[in-house]
Amino acid sequence: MAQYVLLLRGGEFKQYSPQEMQKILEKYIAWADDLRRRSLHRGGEELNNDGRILRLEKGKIVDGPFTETKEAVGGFFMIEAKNYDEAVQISKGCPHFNYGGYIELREVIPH
Amino acid sequence: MAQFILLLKGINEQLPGYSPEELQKLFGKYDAWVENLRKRDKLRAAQRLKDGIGRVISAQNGRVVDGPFAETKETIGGYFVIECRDIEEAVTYAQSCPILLHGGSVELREITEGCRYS
Repeated sequence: MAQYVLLLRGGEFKQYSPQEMQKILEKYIAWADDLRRRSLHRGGEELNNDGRILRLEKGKIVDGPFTETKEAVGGFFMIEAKNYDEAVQISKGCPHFNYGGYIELREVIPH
Repeated sequence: MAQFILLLKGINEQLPGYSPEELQKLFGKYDAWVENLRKRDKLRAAQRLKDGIGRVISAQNGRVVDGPFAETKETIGGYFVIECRDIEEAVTYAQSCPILLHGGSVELREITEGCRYS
């Protein structure tokens, strides 16, 4: 078995009311619960929209604001799967695709 | 205390031009940086992601499809989760991350408290 990170990118939620958002959140939670039942779930977090980008510019380390884009990572899940094909199949069930988002799926290097 | 994730981007930038000795020195810097985080009890998790291979899964015309993943300068090569008082303290640790010395950058993000996916 290998571990995979699902980076949940993009997604458009501004148009939803707090009640609708609650329902959407429950869909993600139900999906995570289903992964747990199948013993595939290894972790997951949601990220706040604010942040910083740090880089070296002209020999000095600067930190600038993080700007949310269509490619921004809004959260992630960790799963266990036999191989990429299985990880892809699992990822396809994520509710993120119903809200304009997409997933970058990456294998973890075991250490 | 809050948790922050450091997404390390462009991890392979400039590395192809490094000699084995230079690489060894650089890895030593990463080890020292991680050791400092551990000593101060800041480190909560860390993982490296495989380069070059990956998938992008998206919905197209109502169908979920998967395609290849292309490595760019913005590709996430690994991440660290640290615990800090606030983002200002987290910035001080991110600033000393060795990836900044070889052409990479760090995206620093706060983890939403009380998330039920974890």
